[in-house]
Amino acid sequence: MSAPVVGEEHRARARSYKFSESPRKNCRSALARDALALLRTLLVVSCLLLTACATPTVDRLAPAAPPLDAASDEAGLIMQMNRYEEDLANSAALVRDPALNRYLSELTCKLAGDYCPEIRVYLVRQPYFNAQMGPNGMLIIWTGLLLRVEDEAQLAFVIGHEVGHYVERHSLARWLKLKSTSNLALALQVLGGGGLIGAAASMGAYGTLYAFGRDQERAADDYGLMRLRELGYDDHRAGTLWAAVWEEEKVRDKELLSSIFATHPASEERRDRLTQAAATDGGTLGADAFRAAIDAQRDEWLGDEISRRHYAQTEVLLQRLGGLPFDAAQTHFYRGEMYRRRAHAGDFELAIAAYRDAIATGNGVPANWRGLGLALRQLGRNDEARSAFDEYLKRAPQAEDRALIEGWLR
Amino acid sequence: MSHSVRIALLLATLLLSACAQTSHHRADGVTEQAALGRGAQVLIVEPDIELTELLTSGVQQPRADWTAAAREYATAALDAALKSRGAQLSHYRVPQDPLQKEEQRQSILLHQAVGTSILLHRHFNVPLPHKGKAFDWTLGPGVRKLDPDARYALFLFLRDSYATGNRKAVMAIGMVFGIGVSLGQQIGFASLVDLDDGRVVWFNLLNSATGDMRNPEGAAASVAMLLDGVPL
Repeated sequence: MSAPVVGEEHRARARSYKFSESPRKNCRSALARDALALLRTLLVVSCLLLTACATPTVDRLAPAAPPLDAASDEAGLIMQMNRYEEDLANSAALVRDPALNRYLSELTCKLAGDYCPEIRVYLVRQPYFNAQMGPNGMLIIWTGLLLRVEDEAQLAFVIGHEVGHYVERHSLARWLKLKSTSNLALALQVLGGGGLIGAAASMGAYGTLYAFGRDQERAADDYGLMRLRELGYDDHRAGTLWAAVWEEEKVRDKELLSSIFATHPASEERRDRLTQAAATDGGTLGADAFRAAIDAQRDEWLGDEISRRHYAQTEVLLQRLGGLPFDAAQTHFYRGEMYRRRAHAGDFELAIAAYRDAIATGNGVPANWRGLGLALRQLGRNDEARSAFDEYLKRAPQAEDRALIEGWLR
Repeated sequence: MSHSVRIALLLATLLLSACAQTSHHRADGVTEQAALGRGAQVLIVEPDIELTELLTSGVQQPRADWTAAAREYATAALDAALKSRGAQLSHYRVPQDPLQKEEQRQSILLHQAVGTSILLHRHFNVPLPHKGKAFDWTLGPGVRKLDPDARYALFLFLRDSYATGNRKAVMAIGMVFGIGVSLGQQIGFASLVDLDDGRVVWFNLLNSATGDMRNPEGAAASVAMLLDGVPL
């Protein structure tokens, strides 16, 4: 707090001290006091409402825009985001594989067009479907998103969408909206006397913030679609991606999806909107280029996916990935891992079948026999388990769990 | 509760929060002022400062201009204060080499983690049952990577907020209705780390409702409080 504020405090204190001195002795002064308080309340409320009613309008960012006024809202937001980026750039959660990072940067640069020099991509090891864009041009992609994307056209849509957030300066618009909304909420609370009605009214005000977020997502979707078309990608892939996301969302734990307090449009709505908007006749998919780029990392990401322990979603995901020309043995193996770890009634049988599918592809990865042995052992099929473990140790003589398994075999 | 009692309580709260408090700890065995000897070589790590404007509704708006100014003023004030104590100063520079840069960044982040743990467990009354009263926090010998020569590293962390005019008006009205409205808060800590072994030899918390980092004098005053009890 600043020195002038201290002065203000003293003055305020002096005033209130006077108020408390003769509360009932003098009716006129009490009346005057109430009138003064009311007047001041009205002043503040009208002040708040004035700022609340001004809907923030933010112009699209020009490429290579001149430096910002350091006192501006935007400069403040960028300062905070730069600090975050500095930490992120040195984070252990960052995927540093040079080839994959080069692929993502080049694709992003293409989609960003004139804004390319302003945008930096960070791939973060997080097994969820998410990408984010900061007002400073920091684009974050989570590995769970790359695991779910099927081709370059879908990834290009996601990146184009995020570039849209940057170009339309959505962070700033949202911040300005938050400021005006919180003023409105406070004004409603003051008018409602701090009671339940005021609280309910201000909740309603905050609800508009979420609707604002959904509008921004739609605008970013439109930008993503536009860039897809401009670069010759098949724009039907955007709707396909969201259809897949929705399939996973449907089997989420029974929590109800709230519509007022969702900042993003429901995936179902988004799927429909994007599917209807698709207009290209053919276009690039870039499936091979995309698969080549992520192939080396996929094993780790599938492992991360299973560790989320959202098995119903993982089941839907693996079923979809199994229908794609990825390494089939890998997908079978992780399906086995998923069922074995979920361990519901019937899951060990499903796991055994999945490991056997993996082995049948001719893939000699030892972990297939390990998983098979573990699942068989859970069902008490000890003879079969024994031969699976024997095969595992034959194929992986240096296995970390060799001693443990030999103990079981004895 | 009668009106006058409520006002009296509010005043008491205000008076309490209006003053600045510091509270420091020294590592076990470091008791004397200037115990670490004059002329000690101290590395000043770039002060981690962020200033915000406290808006009417309580939303904190980050201010890049104030922050940049405060970092500059605080560094100058730190330099002056430590030089007058006879310390030899150097300033941390981010190296070009990416590996070295990352290692050093990790040390700085480690200090952030240890510093906030000290705050939480020593100052904010969340005791660590097995830690007892010992002040034996350390970053470990890895911090030597920050600088090959300096004996100590001085870290400074500060967050400060300043109310807008409207916010002050709301506070005045809040008082009438018996509602406390904060006008901003300065909270920060400084610590001195022995780069030979990573020990936090001194740690000081500043908690204040006054002070202004937006001008050189205010920054110097805050820095002087942040250096309270530094064994240099």
